[in-house]
Parts: sequence; structure tokens; C-alpha cells
Amino acid sequence: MGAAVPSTDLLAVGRDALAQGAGLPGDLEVFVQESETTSIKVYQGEVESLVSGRPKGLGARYVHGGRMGYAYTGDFSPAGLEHVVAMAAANTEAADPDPAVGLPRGGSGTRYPDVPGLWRPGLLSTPMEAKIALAVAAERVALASPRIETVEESSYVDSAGRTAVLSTRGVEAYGEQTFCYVYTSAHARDGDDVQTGLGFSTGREPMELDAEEAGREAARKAEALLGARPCPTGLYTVVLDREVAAALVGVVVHALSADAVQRGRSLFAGRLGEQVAAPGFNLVDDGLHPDGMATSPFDDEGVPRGATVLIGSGTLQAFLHDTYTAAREGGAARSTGNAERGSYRGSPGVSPSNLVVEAGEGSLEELLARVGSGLYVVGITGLHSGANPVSGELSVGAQGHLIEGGALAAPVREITIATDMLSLLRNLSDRGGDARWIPFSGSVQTPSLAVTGVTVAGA
Amino acid sequence: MAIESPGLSPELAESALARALRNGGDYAEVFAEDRSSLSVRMDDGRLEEVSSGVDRGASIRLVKGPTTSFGYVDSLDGDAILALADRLSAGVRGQSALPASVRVLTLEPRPVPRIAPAHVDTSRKAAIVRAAEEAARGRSSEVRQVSVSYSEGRQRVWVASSRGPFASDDRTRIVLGLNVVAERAGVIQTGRETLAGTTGFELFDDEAYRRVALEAADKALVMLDARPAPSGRMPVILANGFGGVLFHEACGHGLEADFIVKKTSIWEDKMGSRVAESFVTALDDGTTPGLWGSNAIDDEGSPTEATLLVEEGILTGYLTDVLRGEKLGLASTGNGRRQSFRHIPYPRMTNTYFARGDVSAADLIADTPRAFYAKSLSGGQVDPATGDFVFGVSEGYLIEDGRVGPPLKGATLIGNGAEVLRAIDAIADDLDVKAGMCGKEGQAVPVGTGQPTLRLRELTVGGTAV
Repeated sequence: MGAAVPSTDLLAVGRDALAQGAGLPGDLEVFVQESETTSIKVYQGEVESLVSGRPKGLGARYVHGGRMGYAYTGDFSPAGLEHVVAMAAANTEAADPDPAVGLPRGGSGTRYPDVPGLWRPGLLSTPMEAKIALAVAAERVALASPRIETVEESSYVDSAGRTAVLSTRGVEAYGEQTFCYVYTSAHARDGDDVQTGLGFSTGREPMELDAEEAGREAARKAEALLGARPCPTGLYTVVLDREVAAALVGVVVHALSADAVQRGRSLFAGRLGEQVAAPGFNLVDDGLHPDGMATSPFDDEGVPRGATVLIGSGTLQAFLHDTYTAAREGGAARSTGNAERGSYRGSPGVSPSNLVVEAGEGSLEELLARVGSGLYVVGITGLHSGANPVSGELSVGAQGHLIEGGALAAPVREITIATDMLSLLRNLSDRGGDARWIPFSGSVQTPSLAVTGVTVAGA
Repeated sequence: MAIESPGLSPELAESALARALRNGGDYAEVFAEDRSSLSVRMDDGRLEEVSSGVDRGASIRLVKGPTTSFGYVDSLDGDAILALADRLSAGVRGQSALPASVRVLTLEPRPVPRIAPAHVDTSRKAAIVRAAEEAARGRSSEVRQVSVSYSEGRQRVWVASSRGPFASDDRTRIVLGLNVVAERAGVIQTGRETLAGTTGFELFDDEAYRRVALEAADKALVMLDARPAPSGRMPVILANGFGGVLFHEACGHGLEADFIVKKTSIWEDKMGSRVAESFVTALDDGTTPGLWGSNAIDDEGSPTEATLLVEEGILTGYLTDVLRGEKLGLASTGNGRRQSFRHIPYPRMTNTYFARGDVSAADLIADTPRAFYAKSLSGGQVDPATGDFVFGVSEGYLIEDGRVGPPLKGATLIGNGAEVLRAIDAIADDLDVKAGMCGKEGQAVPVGTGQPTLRLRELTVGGTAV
């Protein structure tokens, strides 16, 4: 359906917008985005909804005398571009000046790394029927599992996105990438007991997706929790499933942004060079990892991406920077290429790209055998309300299984697990060799992690 | 300075619906939106950014049999909207269906903002942000950091369907939020408070921003003394206002008709049964002017309503949109909502709250031998299929012998929706409704959550102290 409308020449739109600011005394940057998206939901073997669209927009950041103004629009007409640039300039008036505010310099000195394989024409050329078939297959496989009663949702989603960043400081960057996934939510029932499980598969084009495995994963997870009950309150060694580990790493990394540190909102402030985690823990932000979904040659202000070791052998080695936070450090820091925007509607801020937790040894089963007894956590809820990256407090709802005799035992639900983030890092006692990329709320590759001394509130 | 757009005319809506249905279909709808936004952000002692923008576009929904096709364009241009209708109809095979005839819905006049934010100079908005920041900072030398964000938005919507009338709404919302960081001897705590309404700049009459700033600072400061919260099962008192997240998470989502239709809610087939004690009444009310979740119409063009969900302990209502309501044999309750023209509507809450009881909160607390007192909540999450919910406590206390004791930190409450409704054993008379953003299907919509102070016989408190 999308092929009828040709894609916009984003660099041309960006140059036209910069031209609108030619008479202004300050620096102007434009961030231009367009994507083609398809979202298919199936239910009981039929298409429930098919959403397609081509969202686009432009954000203009204007800097003059250390003051910044921002404006955005979805209107790429000459009048729309003129208006958005004028608004960005007008929006500097109320701001306070800050010598660190400025746009990155581009031009001939800037080399963008070559990252092959981000754009797959196969995504747009795959027929709609084939995409629908993936979501149908995931649902069918989940329903074939003996105790699965309903598949509440089975979806296929894709996006082919293009981004351009241009500025009067010489930045001119253009990138494009494709992304797709299958997602399945299955409900298992045994009498009055209902449990839910999620499965997913991600890739850069549909042929990379394993829809049937996503369906099997959803069914397996839901069925495993049937019969779950609260376990006794106490201190446990917990093994975090990879999805859970990824979510927690994502929260901890908020506090590793230089922005949080500079503004007094990080529990890691003043701790560079200190041992903050167990000696075996290594955490890298890798913006160029070939398998990462956040991989890109440049960040959202046109600075080349790279790799930054945040925690090495348990020692805090670096914070993440964008152009502004680096400037605040004077000559002591450079942007690590971690500027990110939620969309063209917002100015950039510091954010991780792909986070990689170094894997340990052995399968999950071997990790459980080494741990011996404790709690295996397969899901957490309430992370956005239960984790405070400023104070470090962490208390969330959880589901999982007891670990007894080095193997999984009875399923557990309606419990909370609580600790604080520094204790979490210091008490990491073991890691599996089972690293997986988790695409939810960021892009994190992590193995299953074992943590001692976690408070569990249950029965 | 804003460029005014004509929006969607009834004539254009009628043409778009007719063309969408050209190859058949059971239902078609066109939705158009023109939204202008402005935000002011202050942090680290500096007014860092003013940002403004415009979102304009239209979407068409075409339903045939079990399938909904949905597309959108980033434009209100008539030709673009008609081309979208043609693109969607091309995906449908069959004979032409019902001709679309559009009837214009005339609504009771709604209160318009007394002071339209667009008519207020940015410098005045900046002055309020600065004054709020100063008030919070001035509260104590232990306040280390303050961020303030002001956002205003005017969203005009037009919607017509092959079944419903042509309707429009003009929604103005303002929110001022503060985040305060306090520190003492290496202990860091945060406090957050917001002032929000579906209203104009009169929201800031009587220096209301000052009260909110002090509340945010006090929340952070009081928690500096907090001890680790206990863990285990115990009686819990939830303070009024944002404590309403309890009903929102524990019950409200499960009453949304999409979960009922798919039989994935714990409340499915419970209509008319007793779910709580007879003094418990709860409703969803999208009509009260000024509340954060209020609108004149929902995003399908149905007028908003006040819907009784639980009446004297009996389950009495679901929250429906047009299509899910039809599947259940119910009319729309005016709860079909969407984040923007780029999103397909779902049944969503508006302002949801427990009705007031008849004891004072002070008496309720004085009458409690021992309980965990959740004064302020930071949000929550629920699985509607199991009813299992969780919510975070940002400000908690221990109540002993009817007196509020020292503050407690780091607690999450966890329970089950059906069980927690039955566990309510007292409701006070101090109803308050707070503003929040509710996420579902990747879409955020403004909602009010509220309640009077209430007591639960028992709930699991998840702190770090064993």
C-alpha cells in the first residue's frame, strides 16, 4: 500500500529549512524523519487490524548567544518550513544563556562509520499476505499448546525509517534502517487459574523472524506459571531472566548519563574509577554493534556513534555524553555519540544506544545448578513506578519459580523483589552464557544474571 | 502567530466516508486533528528550553467483517484525505455498502478556557516556571535540584462515521510539573507533584503553582528521614487523590470492553455480581469540566458520560467504544479514545474514582491499630487477565495505635484486583482526583485517577526490610 507515494528527499527538505534560517545570526540544526510503518494484529486466524502510515516531521533547534529554542512541524511546505524556523528562533527569547549550549561541528573532519545491513529492501518488498502469515503462525503455534486458552494478541510490526540531520555548523548526515518484529501474548488456563506469557522475535526483515518460536515461547511462559502462588517472605538469591535483566540494566543506565550526574540526579556522581559492581561485571554501550537494533552511524545530533565501556571489571569507567554534557566538562570530555530524541518533536538528550552485558558461562540450567537454591524471576511489573534511578531504590512486582536443588521448582506470583541499585550491581554473583538481545525499552544484550541478598515479599 | 487550519468540514467528511465505503464495508470513520503545543523547561537553575510545535493530520478507519483497516496522512488537505480513503477502499472486495450521510451533532456548550494559553505571552509562562522553581528551592537548604516543566496544548478534533454524527471538540490542557531532589549526608530523595487541568491559564489563579512547588519539595525532604519499608502482608491505608491508581489498575483496565470482548478480563461474566462491600461505589466520569481526563466527546464522536462501574458493591458497567459496545450489545459509553490521528481508538478510562464515604480521613486513621500508610503513589501496572497489579509508593508511613509514624521508603504494593476490591473495609469523605497519563497499546492519554482515603484489610507490602 505504501509504494504509491514516493518517499520524501529528506536532505533536500533539510537544506530548504536551513535556507530559511540563512538571515539569522545564530546556528540552526534540523532533524528530519520519515518512516513507513505497518502494524498487523491477528485474532483467531483473521486480521483484526491493519494499520499503515507514513509519519514524518522536522524539528528545528536554533542556538544564539548560548540560548536554545526548539520547534517542530509535520508540514514540509515552504510556508511550514519558514514557520518552524521562525518559531525556533523566537523560542530562544525566554531562555537563560549557558556557554555550554551549542551545536556539534560537522564538515570534512567528520567520518561516519560504515555500518552495512541496516536497510533491507526485503522489508518493503515482502507482500502484506506474508507479513500477516507470520502473525497467524505465531498465534496458531501458541494455541496448539495444550493449556493455552486464548492468544490475546499476535502482532507483526515493521518500520522502514529514514533520518537526516543537517546544520549550519556543517553537519550533513543521512541514514536509513529497517526493523520488524512478531509479538505474541498467550493466556494459559487451569480451572480458575489464568496466567499470561509473551513471546517475540525481532529482525531487520521478515525472513529473519522466527514466528513459530515466538508463539512457542509465549505458550511455554504462560503454562509454566500455572499454579503459581506467593512464596515465603525472606532474603533470596535471585536469577534474573534475560528480559528482566535487560529491564533493570536499562534503569541503572539512566544514572550513567553525564546529564544525570551533572544535575545531581545520579547515584554514580563522583564515583568514576570506583568499584561499583561485582568484579566480573562488564557493561558497554556499543552504538555500532552489528546485531543491535539501536545501531546507527550517527546519533540524533549527527555525531558519529562509537563504543563506550561504562563499567569494566566492576569499575565505573565512563559516563555517556552528548555535545552539551561534554561541553559542560570543558576540555575533559567528548560526546560519546549518545544524543537521542524520542522523535522530531523533542530536542536531543543523553541516552544509551545498544547496551551489552558481557556473558558468563553455560546454559541457564547450568547457572541454576550453580546457584543451587533461590528464586528465578521471569517477569517484573511496575518498573516505571518502582525503580528510582536517582535514589537507587528498587521494588517491583515479580513472577517466576523457586530454585531448589539447582533446578526449577514451584511457580511463584504476587510477590515483590526489592533492593537498591548499588547492592544489585555489587551482589551480582554469577552470569550465564545465554546472552540474548532484548528489544523492549531500549536495546540490551544480556545473559541471565544471579544476584544475592534480594528481599522478597510474599506470603 | 499560529497558522489556523480549517479542520474537517462535514462535506469533506461525507465524501471521504463515501469513498472509503465504495467497495463495501460495515463501518467507516474519519478523524482529523489540529494540535498546537508549547512547553517551557527549567532545570539546574536555568530556563533551558522553550519548544513549540504543530501536529496536523487525519485518519480513516474502515471495518469489514472482523478486519479493521486504518491509515493516516500528516495533512488536513482534502485531496490527501480522499486519496487515503481510496487507498483503504482498494483493499476491500465486495459490493458497495451503506451510503454515508453525515448529520452534524450539536452539543451543549462547554466551558471555554477563560484565558486561552495562546493569548498569554511566553514571558509570563516563563515567569511562573521561574517562580515555582524559586519556591521549591527556597523551601530548604537541603533541596539540591529542581526541574520544572510547563506544557500547554490545544487539540481540536473533528470526527464523523458512517453510523454516528459529525462532531467536533476543542480541548485545552495545561500541566505544570516539578521534580525536586533533596540530599542530606549522602542520602538522596526525590519528590514530584503536578498541577494540571483541562482548562486555560486560569489554572494559575491564586498562585496555585506555589502550593504545588512546596508540596514537591516537602515530599523529597520528608523522605530524607525515611527508613526501609517493611515487607509482608498487612493492613494498608491509601491516601486520597493519586491513591485512585488503585482502582485504575486493579479494576478499571479490566472493565475496558476490548478485554471483555476477548474474554481476557477477570471481570468478564461478572456483571451484576457482588464485587465489594455495599459502601463501595466507583465510576468513570468524562464529563466533569476541568478534570484532566474530561472531554466533550470521545475520539469517535460519542458524547462523554458518567458511567457507574460499581454501585453499592455490585458490578454495573463496562467502558465501551462503538465497535466493542456493539459486540456486547451495549451503546458506547463515550470511552473510545486515541493518542492522536496516527492511532486507532481503544476503550479507555477518562476520570475514574471511588465515590466518597462518610467518615473523615482523620477518624479513619485514628481508628486503625496498625497499617502501612501509602500517602503518595508513583504509578502502577496491571495484567487484566489475572488482575494482578503492582504500584509504587513514593511516600509511605507506618501507622501505629491510630497515629502516623515515621516515613518509610522503597515500597511497592502488590495484589489482585478482585481480592483488593473485596478487601476495602472503610472509605473516608475526602475525594480528590489527580492527573496522570495512562499507557495502553503504546498510546498515552490523559486520565484522572482519584479516591477518598480508604483502608484495605490486607495487602502485600514489598519493602526491603524483612
